[in-house]
Amino acid sequence: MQAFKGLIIKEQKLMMNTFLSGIGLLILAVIGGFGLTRYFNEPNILAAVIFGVVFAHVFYLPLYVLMSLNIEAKTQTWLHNPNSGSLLFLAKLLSGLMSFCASMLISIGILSIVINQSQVMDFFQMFGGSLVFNLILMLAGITCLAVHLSIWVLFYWGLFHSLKNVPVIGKIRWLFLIAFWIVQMMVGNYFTQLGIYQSIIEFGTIEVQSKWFQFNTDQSSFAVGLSDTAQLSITSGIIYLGLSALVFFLASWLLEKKVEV
Amino acid sequence: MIEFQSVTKNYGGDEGLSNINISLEKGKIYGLLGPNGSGKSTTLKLIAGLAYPSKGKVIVNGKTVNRKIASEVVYLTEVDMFYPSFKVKDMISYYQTQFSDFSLNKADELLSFMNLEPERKIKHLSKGNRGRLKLVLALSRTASVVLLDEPFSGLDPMVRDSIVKSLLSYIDFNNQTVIIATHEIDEIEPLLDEVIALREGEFIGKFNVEDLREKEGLSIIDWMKQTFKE
Repeated sequence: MQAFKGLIIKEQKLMMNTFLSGIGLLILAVIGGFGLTRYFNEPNILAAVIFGVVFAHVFYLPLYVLMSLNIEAKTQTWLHNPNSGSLLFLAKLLSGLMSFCASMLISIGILSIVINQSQVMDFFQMFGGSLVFNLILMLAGITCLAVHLSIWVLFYWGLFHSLKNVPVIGKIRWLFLIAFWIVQMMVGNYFTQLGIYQSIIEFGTIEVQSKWFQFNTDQSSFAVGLSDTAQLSITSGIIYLGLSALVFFLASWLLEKKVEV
Repeated sequence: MIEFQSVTKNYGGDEGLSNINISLEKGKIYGLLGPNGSGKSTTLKLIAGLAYPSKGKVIVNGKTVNRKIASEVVYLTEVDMFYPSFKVKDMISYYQTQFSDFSLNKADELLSFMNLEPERKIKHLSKGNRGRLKLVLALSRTASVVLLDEPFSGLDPMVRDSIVKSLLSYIDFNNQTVIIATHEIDEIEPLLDEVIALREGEFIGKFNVEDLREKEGLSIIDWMKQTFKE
């Protein structure tokens, strides 16, 4: 426990400047949104900007993890450590999650202030029902997606560094990674198109009375709207949880057994 | 204590070490010598579990080496290993949480021996003081194997002197095996029990320093000149 605590403290110190820069960007976005709102006299702009900031948090954690890993990659001496690869990775994830939550709380705080301004309430009226419930559901979705993507970052980073000393592939690691990603997408799409997969995820689907973003695309147009209900598939959640655990395990294995200094 | 069993290490298509068989005893100080690219750093990384053999086995304290051997091996790298935003005391605290054999008392003693201020930011330290700090972190542990990769590299004679003095004062000569990979032989010659010579990834030999001096009448530098010229 002491080792894990030490790793978390190290991560927090290591990434403090990045965290503060993130907060700076967030404040700049809000100021920019506020300026545009005043300039165009359109109150919904600020609300849309803040929503954009909240949604952009999907990439906050993966980027945080990647930046932290790249600092370590300069020397790789963090690997001279008796603790397991999973503990080293977990510390990065948890530390990133702490910063993610802090940044998200600040965004939500600003969002609450904006919501309380009657001028922009129209924007939020679209959500109907309980705004708080809608927000919680949305934040939970963003957090789960951010963690899932971050675990993939750990895996791809581990794979990239594992390939360093492999003859031939070592010199074209980027191409190999891109090819691997394409294959991963194709396999993923193949499975999700299967009838059996569809039946599995339909099993245990619950409908929540909540407004939910719906994306519609066809050959000539793209539209974003709000659906009256959100459909949550419990089995899909379990599958993604299992997949995340498996990818995390593989990333930790690569870090311990294949990444060299 | 430390054993290389037919160890080969390849980097991509290049051979870093080729079929090395050596064993090192407990409580001795070894000098790992050889020109650039001879495989000195690779040898230390293999002992520290930071690299793995392509063929063969490295055994430390009876265990096949993996990452977890870090609990029994101290590794001082030649590269600048610090996090620039850290203070000296942050690095000390971090090491203390990661290594159960890290002694805070010894670290404090070493910091004052090396004239290092705990509150100083690492990015503001001179190269010499960064070298000293690396040694503070290494010698504050009581692990049975101490690996020092080019500890004198690029440091002025004053810093080198303080490093040698700290090695003399803080190494437990009965219980710790020390391997120093270096080009700078002058300072450490009196410390060494044995030297191991490598050339282009091949093991040339292991020699007792006393025997070299008494039987062959050679200092290590003379012996190196003779060996690596051939």
